[in-house]
Amino acid sequence: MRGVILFGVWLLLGTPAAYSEITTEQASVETLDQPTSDWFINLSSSGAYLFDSATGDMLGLLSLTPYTPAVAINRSRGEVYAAESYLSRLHRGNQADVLTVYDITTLSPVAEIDIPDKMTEVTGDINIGLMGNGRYVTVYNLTPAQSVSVIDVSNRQFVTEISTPGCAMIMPVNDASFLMVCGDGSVQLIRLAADGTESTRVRSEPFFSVEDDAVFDRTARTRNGWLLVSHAGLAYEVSVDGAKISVSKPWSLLNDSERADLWRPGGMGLLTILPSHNLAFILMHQGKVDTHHEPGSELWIFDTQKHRRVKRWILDNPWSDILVLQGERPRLIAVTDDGALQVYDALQQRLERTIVEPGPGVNLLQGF
Amino acid sequence: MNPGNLLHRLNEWLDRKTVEGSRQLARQSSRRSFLGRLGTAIVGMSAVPLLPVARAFAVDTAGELGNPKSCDYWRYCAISGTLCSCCGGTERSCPPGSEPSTIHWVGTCHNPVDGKDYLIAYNDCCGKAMCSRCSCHRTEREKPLYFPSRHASITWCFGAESRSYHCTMALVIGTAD
Repeated sequence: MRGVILFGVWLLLGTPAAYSEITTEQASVETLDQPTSDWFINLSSSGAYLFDSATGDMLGLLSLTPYTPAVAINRSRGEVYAAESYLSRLHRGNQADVLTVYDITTLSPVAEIDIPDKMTEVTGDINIGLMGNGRYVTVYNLTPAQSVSVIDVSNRQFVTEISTPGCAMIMPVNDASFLMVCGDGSVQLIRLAADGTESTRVRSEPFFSVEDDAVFDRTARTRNGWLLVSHAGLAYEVSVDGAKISVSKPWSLLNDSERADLWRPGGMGLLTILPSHNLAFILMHQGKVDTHHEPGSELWIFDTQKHRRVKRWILDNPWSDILVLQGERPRLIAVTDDGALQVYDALQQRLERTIVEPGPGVNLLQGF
Repeated sequence: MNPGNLLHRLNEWLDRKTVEGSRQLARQSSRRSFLGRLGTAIVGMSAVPLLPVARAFAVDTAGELGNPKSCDYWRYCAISGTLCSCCGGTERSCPPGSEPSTIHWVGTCHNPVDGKDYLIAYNDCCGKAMCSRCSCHRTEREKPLYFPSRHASITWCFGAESRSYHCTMALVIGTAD
């Protein structure tokens, strides 16, 4: 009986005392540190999911419109730029296209700049470009007339729209210039003046046939220019010296035997490059003409200087998108058949981790 | 009556009437007005086959085989999007309340029924949320983004009231010959 009484006293007095020792928690909001080269985003239909490949942790979300083709990262200004298109009634109503400036530590919008209501919604990092000077951002327009909007992010203002009939994509070169690929099989160089308006325009001679062997509209930036790969497996490097465009002699990803076995590049994000090691990673599959979006059953790694393959990596399951990150210890991100993200040591081809539930689908992988 | 005489008299009557008609025409009209009326008549006659009824009789329709709710359906050889056939519409009609785009991208698809290649217009239906059913992506004769008229991944709601993509149709617009 005495024990029961003591237990009752403990219940009455002891338990409240225990609760009173807990510190009341306050909600707070995380902020991001300086980005590292291990960070990347998965651009999905509902925004950009930011991950750290070194840990596999999600760091935050950029809320973007479903029309956003990609984002441009400006680390020196601590900003992220996204071309966004808003309809006043979600799926109807007035359209308003803007370039939104996001703070890189809070992932929150800090400015909006009106741009022509013409921006393309086609996913691809080649549809928005940050010029080398860090001041001008260009956005590819398709109505289906083709043009480029130029935005001054320093002064937070739209500068001009440059008509680019027959040419698409934005591949920045030098301080304030960009290349485009054109429907006649050529590339076009547009240089901006100090005020952001068009200064000069130069067109190369056609060097590929769109009908016979088109180059992919996924490209990769090299040390000196851009790497273009054709559907049949020819590689071209395009570079710029002042107002002069240079297109390298093409080299083949395939030998005669592989060509006879119908190997060809393919996938949505089929091409990624590690300039520090002169390596290009390209998804390959066996298939006929017009299978250019078929996921890769193998990943071939090429030396971009010596123009030869250095590794043939047979995959357990086909991959549709790849991205190599440019850190000291380069990591390769791959999208698997079931929509998960796998993180590999890019040089050793060793699996480090799998990121399950990387967001509602994967439209595009981008370095941060 | 001798049949030879009858034929001779008929020829004489025809000659006489032709001469009288020509003279009457020459008296009533100048050469320029005659040519003008003749031209009008020719142009008018050439317009007759363009009337809808005449076209309906003159043009064959593409043979049909397969399931329009399946990505394997022959018209979908260069489609990228979701099928209106699965969303309350058909391969030729938008689902209720959505708006067909006025422009489109074009594919060339082989019809297994008649062995011909047809030009297929992939018109998007717009102005509603995306219908996430029967998603297809095929790339026969498809070209990259810098060749927009044959690029499959562009949303062709340009001419519509809203750029919001709902689904995609596939209409035969001609033969590829």
